Amino acid sequence: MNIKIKSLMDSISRRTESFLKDEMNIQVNGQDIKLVEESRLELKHLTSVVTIGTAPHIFVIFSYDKELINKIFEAYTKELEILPEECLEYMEETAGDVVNIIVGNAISEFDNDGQAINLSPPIVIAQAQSIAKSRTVRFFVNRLSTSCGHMSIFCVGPNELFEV
Amino acid sequence: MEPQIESVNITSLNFMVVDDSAITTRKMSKMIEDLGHKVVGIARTGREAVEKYEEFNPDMVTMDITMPDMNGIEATKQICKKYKDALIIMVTSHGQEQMVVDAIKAGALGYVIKPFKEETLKASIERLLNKFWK
Repeated sequence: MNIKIKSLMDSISRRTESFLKDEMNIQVNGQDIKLVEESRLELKHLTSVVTIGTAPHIFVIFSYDKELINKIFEAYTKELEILPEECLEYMEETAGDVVNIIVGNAISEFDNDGQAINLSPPIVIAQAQSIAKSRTVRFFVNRLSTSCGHMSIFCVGPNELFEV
Repeated sequence: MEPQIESVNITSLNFMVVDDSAITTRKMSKMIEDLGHKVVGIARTGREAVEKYEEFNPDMVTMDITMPDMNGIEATKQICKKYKDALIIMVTSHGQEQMVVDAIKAGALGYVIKPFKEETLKASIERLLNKFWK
């Protein structure tokens, strides 16, 4: 797969900022993108994951503060009548939809030698505290600070995809 | 071969919405109904779309690409192989050029990138009708 993680993270970060601003009316106040050496990273209130490509996969993980995902959920479903008993399921669906939209849009920037790049359906993880990595993969992290709380974006992939 | 629609009431089309996200199917259904059309069926996977197409007998389909079980490209291919007059608009976050090419090769006649506004969907529906309604 012809994608380097640094370029992917830059594209996802740029598109996340514009998605939050244009679609959700949420301002991103700061971003901190870096390659981290820790083997374990902390997750927030709600987390959604997609994988890109066939093996070796890149995992893209969005993890939200409660306040931020609440605000996104409210904006994303504003034209729908959501019953109280549907809120939890639909909030998780929102988290899945958002990572799918942003990453799906971001991979349009990459030419994969004439091959379409597959994207997995999203998986949503609640109540998890952290993710740990093996020695063969690395973490690229962007910690975003917004007007409604924080979110983290992780790109996780094999070492060879981190070469610039 | 491109489909030839012989008769269709363009003021109210019957749609099948295919997407694995319950929110997206609800949002899409609302948009379609706000445009004066009717949603006659919803499918949550590509396989379900193929299985339900005959039962729902839609005038037009909105089809996601990234779905479990069977993706939207394969579902489009199977539907168009069996139903030559199927009108399918891909509605997906997946904007990669090669994916658009693959969707068109599979038989899709329109492509809308998420997130999108109602006007975009309306324009895509009208484009299909203008092109294929004889």
